[in-house]
Amino acid sequence: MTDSDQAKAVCRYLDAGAQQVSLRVQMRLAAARNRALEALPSVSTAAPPVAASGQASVLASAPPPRERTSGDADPGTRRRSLWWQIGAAAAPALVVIASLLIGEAQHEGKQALELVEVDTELLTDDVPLMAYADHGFGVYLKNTRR
Amino acid sequence: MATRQEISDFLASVDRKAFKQALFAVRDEEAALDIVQDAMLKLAEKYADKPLAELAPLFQRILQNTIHDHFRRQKVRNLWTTLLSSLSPNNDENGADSDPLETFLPEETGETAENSATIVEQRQILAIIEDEIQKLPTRQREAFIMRYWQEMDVAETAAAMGCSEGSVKTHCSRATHALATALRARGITL
Repeated sequence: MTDSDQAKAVCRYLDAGAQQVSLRVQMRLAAARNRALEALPSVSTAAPPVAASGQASVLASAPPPRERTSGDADPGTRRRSLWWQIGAAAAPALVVIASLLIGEAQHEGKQALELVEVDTELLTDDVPLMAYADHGFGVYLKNTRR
Repeated sequence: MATRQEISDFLASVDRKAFKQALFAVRDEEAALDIVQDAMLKLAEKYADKPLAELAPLFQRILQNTIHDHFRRQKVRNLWTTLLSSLSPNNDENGADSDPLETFLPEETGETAENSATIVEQRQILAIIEDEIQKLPTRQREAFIMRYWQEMDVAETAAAMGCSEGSVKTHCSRATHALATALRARGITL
């Protein structure tokens, strides 16, 4: 048996296998074919009619009406849908950036409030403010806490 | 330029073989169906103005490129999956979503026992052949399928594969010998 004969014998089995695909696969393939046909730019379905008179020849020479398919939108619509896609893609990133900025602002506000509280306590204390800068006073405070 | 009807007939004539061809390469039914659909769309969108005779080699080339694109995307996806796998919970992949009725092939009724035995035997041989074809090196499998199964000539196969005619002959010869040896080892003589 030559290489070619061997290959042909294998291919006979492969042909049989290709005919045994499941119904689901057949339906998906049919759907794929239909989608491909819908995506055809503009293909003539039949030969143009033969002109019988002058008027008919004018009609025959006129360009056939162009079918509009799903992927054949006008440029304005296509541009608008492109902007929508860009906006939809950028929206999550904008939300994350906004939440980070808000969190940062809240954190800064909290820190400022804490500083205000400390300052207020220091200023309203009986002990003068300069006492805290004195090294001996610090030691005194430590000793009295013990 | 091919008419709409001619393109429709052409797609109907190649879809099952194209599906099987993609399935041999990617070993995943859903991915194979997606690949065939993508290849058909590309052919319709970009090459519908070509003559009917050129559609078969063009479609083969598009199909091969789409299969290669699938592997490239899969490589990137696998990288991310590996990185993120520790974060995601384990799911039952083979699962719950698959419906046995969808892949059920109705048995032919009214067959004699002898015919049934023959049918079963043929299916077993087919399964082994398909298994061995999947095991072939990629280039050998591509060359074998295009040259012998799709019945393209050596020049067309070389153009679709992007290699020389000599390489196609070498790949075909090696593939045929590898298949014959493997089938013989499994007790099958064609």
